[in-house]
Amino acid sequence: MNSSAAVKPASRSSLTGEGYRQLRQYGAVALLIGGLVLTVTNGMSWGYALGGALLGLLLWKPLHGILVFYSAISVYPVLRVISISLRPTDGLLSRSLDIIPPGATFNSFVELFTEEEFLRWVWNSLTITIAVSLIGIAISATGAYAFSRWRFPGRRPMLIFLLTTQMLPASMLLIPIFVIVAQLNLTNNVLGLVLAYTSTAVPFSIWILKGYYDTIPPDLEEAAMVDGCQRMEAFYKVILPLSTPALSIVFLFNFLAAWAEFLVAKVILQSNAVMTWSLGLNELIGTFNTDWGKYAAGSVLVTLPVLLLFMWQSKYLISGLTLGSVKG
Amino acid sequence: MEFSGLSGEIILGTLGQILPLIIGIIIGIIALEVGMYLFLARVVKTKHALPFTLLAPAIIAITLFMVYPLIFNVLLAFSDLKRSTFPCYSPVALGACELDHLYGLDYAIKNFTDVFFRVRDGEILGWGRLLRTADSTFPVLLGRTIMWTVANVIFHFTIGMGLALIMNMKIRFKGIYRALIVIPWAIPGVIVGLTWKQEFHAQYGFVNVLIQALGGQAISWLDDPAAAFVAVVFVNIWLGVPFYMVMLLGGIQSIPGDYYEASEIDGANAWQRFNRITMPLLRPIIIPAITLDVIWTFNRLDIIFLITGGGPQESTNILVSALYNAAFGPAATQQLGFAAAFSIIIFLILFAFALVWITTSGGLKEIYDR
Amino acid sequence: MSRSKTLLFALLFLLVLGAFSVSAQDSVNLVIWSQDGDANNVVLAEQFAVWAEAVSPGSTLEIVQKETEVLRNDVLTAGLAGSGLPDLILGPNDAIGVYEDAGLLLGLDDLIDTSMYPYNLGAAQIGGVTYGVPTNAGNHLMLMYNKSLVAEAPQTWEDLIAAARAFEEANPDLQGFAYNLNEPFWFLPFVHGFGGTTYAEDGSMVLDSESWVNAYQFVQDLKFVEEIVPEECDYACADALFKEGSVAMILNGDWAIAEYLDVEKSPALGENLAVAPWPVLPNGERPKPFTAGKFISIPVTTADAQLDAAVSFVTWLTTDPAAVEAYAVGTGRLPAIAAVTVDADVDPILAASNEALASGVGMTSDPTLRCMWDSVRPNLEGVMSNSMTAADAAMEAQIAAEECLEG
Repeated sequence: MNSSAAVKPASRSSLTGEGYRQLRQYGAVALLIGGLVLTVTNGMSWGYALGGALLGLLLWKPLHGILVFYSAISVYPVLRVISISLRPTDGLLSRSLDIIPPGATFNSFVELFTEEEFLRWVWNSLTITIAVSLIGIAISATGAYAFSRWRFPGRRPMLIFLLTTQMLPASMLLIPIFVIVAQLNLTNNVLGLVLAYTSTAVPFSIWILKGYYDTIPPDLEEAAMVDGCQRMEAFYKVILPLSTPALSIVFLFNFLAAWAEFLVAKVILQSNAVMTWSLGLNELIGTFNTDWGKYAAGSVLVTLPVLLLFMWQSKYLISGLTLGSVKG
Repeated sequence: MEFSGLSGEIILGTLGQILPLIIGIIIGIIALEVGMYLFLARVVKTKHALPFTLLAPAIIAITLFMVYPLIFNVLLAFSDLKRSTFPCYSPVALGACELDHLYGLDYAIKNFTDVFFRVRDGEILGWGRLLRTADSTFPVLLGRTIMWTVANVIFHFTIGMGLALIMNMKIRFKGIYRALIVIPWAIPGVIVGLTWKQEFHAQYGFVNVLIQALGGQAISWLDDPAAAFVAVVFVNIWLGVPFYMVMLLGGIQSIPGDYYEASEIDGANAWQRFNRITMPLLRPIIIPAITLDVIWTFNRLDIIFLITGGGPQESTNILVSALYNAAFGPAATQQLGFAAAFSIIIFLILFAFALVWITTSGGLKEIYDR
Repeated sequence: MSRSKTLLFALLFLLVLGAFSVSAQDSVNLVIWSQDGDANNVVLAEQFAVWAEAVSPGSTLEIVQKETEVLRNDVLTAGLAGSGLPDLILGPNDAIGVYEDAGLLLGLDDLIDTSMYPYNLGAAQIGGVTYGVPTNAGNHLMLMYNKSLVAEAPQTWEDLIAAARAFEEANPDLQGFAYNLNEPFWFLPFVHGFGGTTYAEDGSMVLDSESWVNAYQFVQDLKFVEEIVPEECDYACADALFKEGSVAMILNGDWAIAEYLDVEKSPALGENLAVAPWPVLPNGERPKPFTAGKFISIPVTTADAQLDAAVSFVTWLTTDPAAVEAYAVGTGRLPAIAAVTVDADVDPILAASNEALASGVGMTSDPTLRCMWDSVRPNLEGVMSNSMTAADAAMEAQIAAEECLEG
């Protein structure tokens, strides 16, 4: 985005004056050394050194300190899951904070593939998720276009209604959705879940896409159209390519939502053959099993790809969600 | 050749299901749209033929899986469905039906009053228990839900805004920070919930290990009502900050720099610039973001469900988790008419809030009237 | 352009292949919803294979595992929808009352000769009609210990406390004793041991008698006075600690035995596993676990060939002596018919489990029992976090139960 528009740092603030800066640097070094000393005197527990380094950073470069601190809060639980997945079976419950545990092993990963039907679960989730994302986009892209470009009777109530759908408590939907899916005879099948997920994804997708279309000047497509058919041609040739950022955001959102869902899946899916990873992993630490190692290994495997995709897309995420909302 | 439950045959089988579905639905949509367009344009002769046509698939999908469930629940709330009357409502259950009517206002009145009051022989004895403790009454749960929502939204917003402002400054490693800070957003809720539950374990969770390493006292996170509530609120804040950070950062970045330069010449300080330029210009982002966040947080079931299950002593339940427990949890009584009435009341509270909020804030005008 | 066409054709070809790969079969495909654990379901599947080979070659049994509440909800939801019910349900007997109340189970007296089950059947009978047949006797909690950590089973709670303390002093990183602290199913044996019951003689529910107060006090003292249980421990915690050898003694049910004997899943156990009856309380009585067993029921929607096969398989599984014995040995649980007995020399675990079973109390299938479980749970949580006194917990549980029974 427009990074040149960034706000200038407040240079007049007294804390950034040259003298203070020197002082803060010395303080930071002192904290770092203090942490190291405590580490050594406490039998090499590196937590002290890390704490000292963080406090030092906060003093020396407060902004970086805050960001590093918050990033650590975001990342640490993920590192913990990775750490648990590497623990040996006889050391799953442990008070150790080591990221690489003593006796680290990939056994949990191996067992996950050989003893559980993990690949099958992932494959099921993947097909459901991709189907939901594609169908969801197809439905919302056109719907959002109608909301963005026409003033028709019932438009405003319908837009409010889209927001209203977000207010239905999830537990309210479970029984009726099961009844529909059971009556369509789709309980041992992924199709029922695909239909249910797609419908729940549509309202929010339309909302985001409409906001984005609104920022595209209508003159662009008006040039080429006279009647309905040509209008649709203009939509496909002009609007859709221009909305790639928003479309990819919507795809990402729907993908993530369907990928991670488990309440509805638990009610609808009644066959092991169509089990998704969220149900499978949940069962690993259910009432009867407590396979923390396998569970953690599975979590790492299903999270990392999506996580990397998300981190890689994080820049576009920012523009896709809000572009054009602020009128300069 | 099967490995980890997957074989070529299974892949083919699933593709055989999914691909026709996708293709079929897309062909179906196109056929429906063409047919509907021709019908509307040629037969009905409305000038709105095209927008209606374009909206049709979305409306059908939403009707089937969101409007129908709503109607279904309204019907249930007007029924006397419980275990002993199951044969009246189920097409397969055996046994005689002893009700003279299946749906009626009398049932609805009973179901809706049961959500609020304990009634015996037509007399109100006090607040009714939605679950099994004296504190699981409607006003207590509503109060806790409001606390949960307000705490979450305030922290989401302030932390998200703080991070967005810092990230907008000229600072190095921005891309790395951004990528790390969005992480909680990308982790599936099931994993977030179950992982944090484990990390709040009094003995083995890292939270207590850290507290003790820093010289503090271990806290029974999941056994102590107040601590358990703090724990679930904390996790939900952790989850929600990235959404705000991303939304607000996007907004701040699109504010033209000359606005700030002009005000700097006028001698405005950082707070004045934030208050007079950033906040007003971000309004179109902040209002919808808060609206959605309030709705989502109010209705957020998974974190509480996975971490505390509403316990200990039913003390971390909010309305939606109490509803889930009343309808499906260990304490479920299978009084589905009552559960439906309960769910409708939750929905109506949110709906009323949204109406008031949207009309007073006026912030969604942008979305409707553009 | 041509490349994408080729791809499309390839996909279409695969589709056609996929459609034809599912061929028709004459044999029966049964679905069972099972509340049992993985290891036990494996035994069930093996047994089905034996049956199918002899009686109905090519038949399959799909076992869908469901937790207690999920099973109960799903059966009711499917019953409401009118479709989607399985052919068989395997679960604890207290849910049978719920399903029967809703009219979702077939009476089995005309289908299976119920005289073949000399005991235990009453737990699945309502109004004289049988709604489930037992796959095993038991489902009872007992003391389990790791022989490599403690030499022998403590006879009294005093012994147990001393043994746990001694063990923790010798092994500061390990735990002497742990169990599912906040779950009423683990608490009721104490109540029974102190002389309490759920229903009074007139049939009313009494949860605030002196025995209940004593039991609350006893478990609270175990945690806060004796300090021999972990600060916080649920099923997963006790189970995981035991399997990895980090706790010497736990309380758990017969359903877990199969998994504990499997060294792959329980690296510290296997041969080291030993079981014993509950230690004696200070009043000289043993705590009495609830007993019943897991029962197989048949939902109303099972019909025709499915029903015939289901009845045939269930009858064979639960009454054929060889099948019953294989199932009992495989799952480590006690057989439910008298024709098969347990020899302590052949299987010491089963024999000890049998001994523990003898002190048990039969669990009713009356659906109002739920009101007891649900009313006790939050108050037990209060006692175990030391935020409620034993007397208050008993009083609150009684009030909650009365309101629950009202409707």
